[in-house]
Amino acid sequence: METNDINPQFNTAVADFKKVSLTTAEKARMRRILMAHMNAHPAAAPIVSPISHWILFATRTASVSFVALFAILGSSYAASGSLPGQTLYPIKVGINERVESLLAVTPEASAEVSLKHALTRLDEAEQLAQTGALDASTNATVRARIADDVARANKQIDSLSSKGRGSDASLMRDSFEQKLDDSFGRFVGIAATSSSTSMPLVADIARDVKSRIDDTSRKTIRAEKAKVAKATKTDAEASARTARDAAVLAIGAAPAAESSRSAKAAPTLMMATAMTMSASAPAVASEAQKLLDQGNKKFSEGKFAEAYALFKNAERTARDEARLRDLAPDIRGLIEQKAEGSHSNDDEDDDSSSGSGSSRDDSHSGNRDSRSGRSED
Amino acid sequence: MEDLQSTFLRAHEEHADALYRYGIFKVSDRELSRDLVQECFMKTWEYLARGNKVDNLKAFLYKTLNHLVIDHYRKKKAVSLDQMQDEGFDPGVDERSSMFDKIDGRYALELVNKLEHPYRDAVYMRYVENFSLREISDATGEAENTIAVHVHRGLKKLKELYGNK
Repeated sequence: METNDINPQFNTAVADFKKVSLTTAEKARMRRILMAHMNAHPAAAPIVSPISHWILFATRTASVSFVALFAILGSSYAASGSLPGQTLYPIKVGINERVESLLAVTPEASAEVSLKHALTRLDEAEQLAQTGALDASTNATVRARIADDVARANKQIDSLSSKGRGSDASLMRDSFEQKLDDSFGRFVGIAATSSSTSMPLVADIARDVKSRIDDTSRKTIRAEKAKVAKATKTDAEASARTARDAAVLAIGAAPAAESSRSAKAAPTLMMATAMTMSASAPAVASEAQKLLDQGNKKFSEGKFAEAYALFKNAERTARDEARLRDLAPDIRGLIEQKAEGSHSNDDEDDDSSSGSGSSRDDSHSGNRDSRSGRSED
Repeated sequence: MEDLQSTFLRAHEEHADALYRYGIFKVSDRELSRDLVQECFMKTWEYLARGNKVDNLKAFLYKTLNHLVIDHYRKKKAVSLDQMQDEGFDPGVDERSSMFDKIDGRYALELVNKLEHPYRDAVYMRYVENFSLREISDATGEAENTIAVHVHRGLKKLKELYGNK
């Protein structure tokens, strides 16, 4: 509804009414009075309550904190991909990795973080080598940091071992060993293809890594030997059980004299095998040493790829030798022990087989009784 | 500080005439309206000088003037006519009628003045001073929707009054 609906004259009347105004003199007088009043009552400085102060302070602090947080997180994120020699690299190793280390509270977590940092150094060196940016300075940085990280990791792993968590420590070393192997392989590849200027530096790092591998390999091999000894002991016991069971079966099967002879033959065969294995261990060790010498020769000649292959071969051979050496005495002892038992049972087998033609189960249980009876005697 | 003074003087320049007309509309007395407008600006300045914030100065001035008008009628009501006459006051003729007789369009404005309270100010501000609903809301303290209803109903009543004239 508009005013025109009432009467067009309404708008005219309003327009006329709007002409009513103060005269210039009236307005000027009012203004003078007002200015005098304003001067008599000057505007005070804005009063801000303590709460407003606090809100202002909190708001500003929060704003500054957010900006700082974003700046730190941004720098930290940007630094995570930096390489030695770059501006943000000190942030990466001095802040990011330090914080990461501090957050790892258990020895296991600390060791994992240190190993991860060591591998990161290797990745950095690899990237530098690939881009041809590996100079003497970055080389020294990488090597120093690798040494620190590996030493720290070893310390933590030793701490784990001393706390009775040898298996965890072994697993961790195995994993690191594998990763170092991979890195070393990559280094060898880089050294073979990189420019002549960076090649000696890559070779330096490769030697460092190699020495770390040697160092950790020794520890790993010790752990491996423990594992292998345990496994071989289990295997030997299993073999012994098999031999005993075979003997028992053979003894129990009175009519099957041939089986009995096989049971008697089995320990003899295994004994022979063990003797052979034991005798071959020194030869295998000699072979490993020979491969190692060849690898060292190739390495000194700068033929890293061939050296790497020989080192790996030597390591495998040495591991085999260790396994053989540890395995042979256990098997030999067990087999000798069981062989004596089999010989004793053999006499009874002959007696029972010549007696009656009872069933296999009966003679089996009867044989057990006779063995237990003899042992009581 | 200087900016506040300049701003306030500029507001005086811009709104004094409209406030003066509104005062006339409310109290039907030019002299009284002028005094009320003067007091309105002075009180508003005192309010600002104390550090208070005002979002819409125009609406605030109208609100202040409205309060002053109400105060004026309250004071006037408290004093009996006999007492005023004893003090020498001569009511004379009806001021409102005489005032509207002096201006053009007096019939229309007289009809607006005949509207009931909530509709009178709403229609005046909306159609005489061209206030927005928001400005009327700020000046009167009523919600915008309420003002819209007041304007609509006031205009409807005004039309009825105009038809009966």
